[in-house]
Amino acid sequence: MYDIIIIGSGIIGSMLAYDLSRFNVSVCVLEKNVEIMNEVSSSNSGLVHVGYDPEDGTLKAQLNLIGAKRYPQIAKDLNVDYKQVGSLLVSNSMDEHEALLKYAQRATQRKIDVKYIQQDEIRRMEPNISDSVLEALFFPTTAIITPWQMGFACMNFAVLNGVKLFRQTKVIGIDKNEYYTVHTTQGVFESKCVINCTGLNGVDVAKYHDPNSKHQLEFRKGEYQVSDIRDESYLNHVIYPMPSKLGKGVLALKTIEGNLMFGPTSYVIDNRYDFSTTVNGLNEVDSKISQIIKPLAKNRMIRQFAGVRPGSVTKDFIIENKDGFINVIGIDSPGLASAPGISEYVIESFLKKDFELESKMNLVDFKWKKHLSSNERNELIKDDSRYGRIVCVCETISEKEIMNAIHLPVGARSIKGVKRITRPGSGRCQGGFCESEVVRILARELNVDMKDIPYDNDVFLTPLGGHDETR
Amino acid sequence: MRHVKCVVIGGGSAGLAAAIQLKKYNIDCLLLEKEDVLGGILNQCIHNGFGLTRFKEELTGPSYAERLVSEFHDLGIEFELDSTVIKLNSDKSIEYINPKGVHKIQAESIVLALGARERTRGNIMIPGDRSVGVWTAGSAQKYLNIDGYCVGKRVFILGSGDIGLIMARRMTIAKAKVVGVAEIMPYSNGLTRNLVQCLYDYDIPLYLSTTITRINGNGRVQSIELSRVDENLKPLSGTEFNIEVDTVLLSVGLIPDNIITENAGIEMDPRTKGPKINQYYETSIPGIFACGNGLHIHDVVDFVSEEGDMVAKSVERYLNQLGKSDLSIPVNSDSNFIYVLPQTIDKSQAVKLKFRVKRPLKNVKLVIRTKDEIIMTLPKTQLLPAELEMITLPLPLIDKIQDEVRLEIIA
Amino acid sequence: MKHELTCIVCPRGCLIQLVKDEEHYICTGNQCKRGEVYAIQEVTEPRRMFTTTVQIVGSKLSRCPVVSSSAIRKEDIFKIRDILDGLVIHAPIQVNDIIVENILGTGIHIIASRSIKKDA
Repeated sequence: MYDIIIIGSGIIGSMLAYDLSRFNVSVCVLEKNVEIMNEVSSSNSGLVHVGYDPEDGTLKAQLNLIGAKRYPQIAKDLNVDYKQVGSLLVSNSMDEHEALLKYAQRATQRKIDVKYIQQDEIRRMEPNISDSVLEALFFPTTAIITPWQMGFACMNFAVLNGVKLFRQTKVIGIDKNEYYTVHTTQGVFESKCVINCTGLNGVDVAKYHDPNSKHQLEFRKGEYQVSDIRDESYLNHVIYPMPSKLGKGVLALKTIEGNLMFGPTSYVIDNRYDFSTTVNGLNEVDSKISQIIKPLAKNRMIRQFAGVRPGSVTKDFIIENKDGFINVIGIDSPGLASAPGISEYVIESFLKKDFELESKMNLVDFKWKKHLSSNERNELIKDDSRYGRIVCVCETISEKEIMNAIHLPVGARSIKGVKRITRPGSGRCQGGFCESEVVRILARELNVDMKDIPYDNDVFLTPLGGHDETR
Repeated sequence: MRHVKCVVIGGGSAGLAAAIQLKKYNIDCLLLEKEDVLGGILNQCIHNGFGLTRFKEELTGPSYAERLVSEFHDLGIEFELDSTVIKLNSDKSIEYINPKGVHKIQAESIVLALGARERTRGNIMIPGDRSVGVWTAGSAQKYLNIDGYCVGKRVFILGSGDIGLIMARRMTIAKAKVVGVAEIMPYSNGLTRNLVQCLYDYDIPLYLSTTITRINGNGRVQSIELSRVDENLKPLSGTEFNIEVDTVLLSVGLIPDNIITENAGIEMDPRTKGPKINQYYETSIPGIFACGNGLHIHDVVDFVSEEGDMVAKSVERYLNQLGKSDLSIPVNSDSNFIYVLPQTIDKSQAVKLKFRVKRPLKNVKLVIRTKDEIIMTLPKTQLLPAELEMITLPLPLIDKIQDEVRLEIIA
Repeated sequence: MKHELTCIVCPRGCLIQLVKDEEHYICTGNQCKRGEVYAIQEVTEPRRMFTTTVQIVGSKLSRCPVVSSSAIRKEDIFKIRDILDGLVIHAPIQVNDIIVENILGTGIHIIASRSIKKDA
């Protein structure tokens, strides 16, 4: 019997687990995939928007600001990457001048740092900006994070401090008596309170609790292109076009690792799990990006991907408490930026009413291990030579770092997990050289055979001498 | 900082040959290899067909590698395994990591024998789902031949070059069903021998002028959409057809793996994807040489090793400061060529030119000219993109060269 | 009985026509004698060099590449593959060590194509 069951370990579930682990409440997290942070939370822009975009009076507006304010401290406490690269909101047409000023005013009202800049200064700040950009707003506090790094660090802290994580555990039904009974593929869990933060499945799980729920999600796909890390200096800031009804638009943004990303597009899809890239989508990225920056050569692009956002038709977050069943759904942009704000809101507005939230004493600290500098690596090799055995040449990642990723409190159990935590497979060879070695190390460290290691959620290797498919 | 006369980066068929030859010239080198074994990619190429020229027998990849490695060890050449070079500087200092630490050494001369990596799904941008089940042919080959695991059960292969064909056979022997091979060109680049022994032997269909236009499957690959292409290699609308598979292997080209080369500021040739060289295999930084698949993509490993031999000779020349000509005559070519090596020559000795043509050509003349004069004409019954051609320009012809050398094809 | 095939002995790839005339074959299209030998062999008893890997224990490596000492009959490929799939060999191995002698009574051996050290 738990105090709180959190269903879903995307950024919302992970942030809630992080915050709640600091109180004397028993919490468990149910995740249907092998790894946490596997769906919406790992297929987005990785941006902590400053918060001028959402309309006044929305939860989005309120919680984006709180989230953006909390992130620097969280990043410091967990030692995760958080970089205020700043952003330019650019306009190509004097018709948009009014709208641009409106955003400037809104930003000022919301106490967000903003500066209006014109032609020459734009080009000084951003030499590769498109020639058609006329004017811009500069937001110095726009930040970038690596979403799965943030989520993994939060969940590792949470698990170290008492939160229980159950993987490959999919919710299939929910009953309520005096407490909640959550039925899953791995058995039954009971709690006083349930938090539903299941992203793409938000409404399905809401309906397990209340079949008459009127909530409706609209799934929008966004396609991205990713460039080689050597193009990092092509842009200094994140570049936003003027937003439209469809959303923030196709951005030019940077990642912590140094890749450039262009995207996302935004169109409604029927199949919420359709993470496919399309010729049209990628062409749309090409044409829209050329309106804000001078485009990069095609052969610099190493990868394409798509994410799906579960937006509510109400165009705002749905965060409600129904007798101890808390829905946190319809979390699309600015979901990532708002996550710490959403967590705080749920705790302050709902959980503090039902639970005596006493702070835990003797919290265990957790610090994320970042990419090693040559000096750091040299020191570490003295204690463990496996820091010097480089497995992923493209990203310079050693055997020991991969082992560390596997042995974290919330450790990697799949190729995908290793890739998210330490990056092998993210570079120019996309795992061509190192993948089998990563599987070998996973199998050894988890004490199983290579054939038992999943790629994402499913195993994929057949030992030689197995069944004959040719017959 | 340790000083070394010559550092060979890469212990595959190019680097080993270079190091062996350097030792025979009495030059002590240090060879750095990133894997925990020497031999390079040959270790996973268990099929035969290697060594006919160099060793006068047909060997498997591992056997060829072992010939080089044995001689390498017999000569007592210094080497370090698990050693990954992370930085090459223009002053010829090198930073590398291995289980003993992060090291910085100063080289007097350097041989780059970096090898190649495979073109990925992301490079060629095949649209579709983010399905598990797509690998490069070499990656699947490594799982199979080094670890002993087959990555899938129903396989489709994109690319009918030799690597794709070899894997078609290998996956069949490994009990997977290879449903077909698609080739975007109207002809296969692979050796006829491989078409016979890898496809026809196993009734594996070859779809020419065809490419994969979509990969489908939430989670694992479930099917692929294939389309025919036009003469510009663009998919033809209306020709799409679907095949159910769970695995796609990509054999769509190799790219010389030159990150450290580029980061050192060495001039690159976008046509070879390798560094620009003169006839001594020397890059734009004097004393840094390149050979093997890291210089340009080869078809025959014997010629990879031969480049290693040649580079050793050039290193010897360089270290002994033998007369250097300042002449740098560009080697140009018409649009029939993908590339020609070297990119520049001096006029001091005969030169072996190496080139690849863009399309198969039958019954043409290869013309080599300089400014106003044709210095050589060679009739060629057949020129193929898949076959690296080599032609030696002897000294008397070199003497005639003025401001440039130009290769042309005429009907 | 008429056959047409491409010779694979050298890169020329001659298109060979083979006609059976009572007891012997008449071969045309080949530019050398090796082509004739290949063509006749290919239509009477096609043969292939066979390579695969065998499981090995006692070493850092888990697979040992092997090769047939000469070309086996094409029809024996899968049978030989099945035999080798069931084998486990022990390090150390020297290149050219006979792994399976006289496989399927053919007089052909399966030999190791590399050396593998003993390594715990």
